[in-house]
Amino acid sequence: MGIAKKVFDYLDTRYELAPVVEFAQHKEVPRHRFEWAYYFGGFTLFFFIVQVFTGILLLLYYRPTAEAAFESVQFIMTRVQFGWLIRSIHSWSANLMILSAFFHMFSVLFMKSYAKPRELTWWTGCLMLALAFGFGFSGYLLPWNELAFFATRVGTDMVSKVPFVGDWLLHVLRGGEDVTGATLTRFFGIHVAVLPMLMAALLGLHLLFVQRQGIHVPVGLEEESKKRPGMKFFPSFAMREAVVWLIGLAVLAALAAYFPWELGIKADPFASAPAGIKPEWYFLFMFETLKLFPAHVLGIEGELLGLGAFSFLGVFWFLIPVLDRRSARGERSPLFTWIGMAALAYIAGMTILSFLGVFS
Amino acid sequence: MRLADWIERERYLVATALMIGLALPALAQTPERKVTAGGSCLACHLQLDEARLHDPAAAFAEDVHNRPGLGCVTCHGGNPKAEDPEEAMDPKKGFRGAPKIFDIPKLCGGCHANDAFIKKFSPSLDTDQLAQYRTSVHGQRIASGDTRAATCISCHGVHNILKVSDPRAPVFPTHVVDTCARCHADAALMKPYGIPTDQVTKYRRSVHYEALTKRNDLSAPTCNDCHGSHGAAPPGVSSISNVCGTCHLQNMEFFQQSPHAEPFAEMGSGACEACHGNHEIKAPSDRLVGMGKGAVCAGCHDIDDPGGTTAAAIGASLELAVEMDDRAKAEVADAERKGMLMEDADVELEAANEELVKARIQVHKASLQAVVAHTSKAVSAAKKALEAAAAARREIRTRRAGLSVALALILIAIVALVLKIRQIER
Amino acid sequence: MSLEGSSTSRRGFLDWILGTAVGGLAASILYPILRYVLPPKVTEAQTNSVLAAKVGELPPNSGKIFRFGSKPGIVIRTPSGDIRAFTAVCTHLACTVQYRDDFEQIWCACHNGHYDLNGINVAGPPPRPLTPYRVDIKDDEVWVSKEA
Repeated sequence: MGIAKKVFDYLDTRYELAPVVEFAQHKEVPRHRFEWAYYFGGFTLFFFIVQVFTGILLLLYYRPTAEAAFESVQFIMTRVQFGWLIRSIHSWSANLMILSAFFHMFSVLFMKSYAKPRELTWWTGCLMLALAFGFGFSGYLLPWNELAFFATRVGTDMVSKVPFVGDWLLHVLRGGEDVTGATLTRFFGIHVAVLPMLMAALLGLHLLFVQRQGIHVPVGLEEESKKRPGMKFFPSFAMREAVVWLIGLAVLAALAAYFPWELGIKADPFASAPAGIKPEWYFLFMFETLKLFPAHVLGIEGELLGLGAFSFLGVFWFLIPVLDRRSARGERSPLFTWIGMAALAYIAGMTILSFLGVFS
Repeated sequence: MRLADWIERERYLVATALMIGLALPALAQTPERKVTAGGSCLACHLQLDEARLHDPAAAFAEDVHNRPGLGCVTCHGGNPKAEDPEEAMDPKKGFRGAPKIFDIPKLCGGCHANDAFIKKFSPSLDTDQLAQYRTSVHGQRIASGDTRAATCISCHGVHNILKVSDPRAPVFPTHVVDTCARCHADAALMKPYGIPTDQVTKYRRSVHYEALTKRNDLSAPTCNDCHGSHGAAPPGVSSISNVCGTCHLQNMEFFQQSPHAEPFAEMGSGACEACHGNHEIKAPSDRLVGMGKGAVCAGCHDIDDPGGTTAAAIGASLELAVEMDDRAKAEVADAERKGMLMEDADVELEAANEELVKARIQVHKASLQAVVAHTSKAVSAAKKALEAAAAARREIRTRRAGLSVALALILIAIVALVLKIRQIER
Repeated sequence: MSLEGSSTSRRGFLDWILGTAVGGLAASILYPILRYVLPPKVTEAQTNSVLAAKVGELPPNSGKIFRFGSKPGIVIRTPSGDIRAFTAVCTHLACTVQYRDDFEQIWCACHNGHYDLNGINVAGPPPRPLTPYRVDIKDDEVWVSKEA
């Protein structure tokens, strides 16, 4: 204890930590019957931290070229001690992070926590989800195996449907005509430099906003939360969050043990695409929807229309804090609850149906 | 910098230089090859409109005989120096016109059987074609006055004769079957001779034709490689194994060591052909061996006789080795896909493959011992690969166990933490 | 007193359990990371070159099989003393070839395929030449590498 005190004093005399400590001591989390939803943000953060650490470890051996990428991942999984574990955890944690982010987003949506004055928190969150998709999409290609290669080919091809600049965008994204080693290098740079940098900045802002504004109590639960004393952030909430993180760790360990992430077969750009190429599960609902669109609708290409629809919905989703006037006024807003329910049902439904093989 | 690198980097420059280099000689002379021999014959015939008279002269431009010292006169006679057609084509001065079909072998042989003459043009060219031709069925038919039998020009062409090595020549390996087919696939033409006309169709389904046309292996046999070219005749039954043996050396050698060699020789029966067929030879499969369905041994042997028992045992040992090998391959591939290190197993799989290849040739010895000597090695190599795959699976289980320990630790920590929270908040 | 004591000891026990579990957990996270960071025995993912033989073990007119990853390679010394290396996988049916000093050729036992000292298929069923490797002699060591 002596040393800790000394270190604290050392820092305190220089940075005046007392207000920070004061803040931490008085920070409280409201209690009500949906308080469990408050843990998903931290849960997502946990997986992100795991990603950062395992990602850095993978960087020690990974080589981002078409000739060496697959071999280097194989090398990590076979020759490097515990490489299989690091890689398996990185892959699983990526998926769990996105899953957890979805839960976080929908809980925020249903509690209407995005409403004024927390619009910016919602917006940074939306952007971070987009970044997470970017992480997933770019990272999927890096092992340079057959499935990843063809899924990336299909996925990047969507971009070319964008009016006017589609071909140009496709070129920029792929680093050339087709998915090649150039694409791999590009995706690698995006995955390990561009996205982490943006994510760090947005994450900082997101957390800063939450700290600054405190935690939102949903309409209709104010009474209940007023009746019950708030939960001290330290140590009560923090320890509960620690339990949640441990559960996350347990899930990761169990998945790595019972469903180790496979290596696959090296990508052969000249081979024909194997049957059943699918993107990662979190893109499935979009992927299957686009496939359901007819080839042409009123003379417009079906895929273009689908992409347009998704873009529109994306913008709508992003603008919810502005569109939902009632929540901003602190009133109940059942319409947006229904919209959220519909979106959740659609995403979950399409994903499950796709896994059940309904569309294949 | 290596030359190859430089060429790669400067490929446009190199390509341009090459093109100029190639174009220069073409600019120096007219691009079309000129008829250099032929004198006044060509001067007139190239001007004529009638195709019958014009086309042979035009075709001669590409002909291998289009060189100084040779020309129309060599075959047709006459006087190429004469300006007047009457004088140039005066039969009294030796003009022959189109040679009679019976005269063609002798006409070509006039030069091609003349060693001293041929040496002047092509020192390594054989001069035994005419002699061989006379022994061939074609040659004998012609000698007996049959105008439908093939002569030199039937295969080599007339005025546009090309070297055998010229890919455009009708006698180039890939074209031989079409050339022979012109007559031998013609049922009406072949009717008087009572010989089948389905050889070409059958051959086109064979592994040899596939090797020749799909894999572009020019050494794969076509008609003349077994039947001879100038001495074309069906190979005698007793010579078949020698014909096949020219390429399938070891198979023949092992067959000669087998108990089959003597009886087949006594029966005067084509040995290779008995199992593999002739024109429609398919890639052999392991199912040919044994007493089961599709096996050829059952054609002569009963399951009860010693030969049948041996055949069944050979078939079974091959089958077992292949089965083991396939299983090992599948399991190793699966482990590799899961990200396990299977390098040693790959080496074993290669050894198994090699032993299987060897076992398959040993089949020609018709000796169980000879085959088993290799299949047993294949099986043991496959077993080692299977063991490696099993070890990989065990390794995955070990990892699972290790992670289970960590999992237990996490669960204990969770429980302890929950209790701790309760304790603090009490 | 006894109640308080038992409560204290229970608290102590809980702390001990918690501390041990968290400590064990930290160790089980750090240990794999430490082992991961230590470079493995084979330090490169792709082996582009391999020590095939010592010059001393290759008298003229001899050959030696070596392993290039999981594939065999053959390094030969020609009767005139040159050292050359090729893949040892026969182009016919993937048997491993060998050096025959009586033929002064590379030879495949499976179907009697012959390759000359440049790896060119000269007799028997092999349809293609053997792929040559680059040979570098470093002191007494024969290093063979795939041409990139």
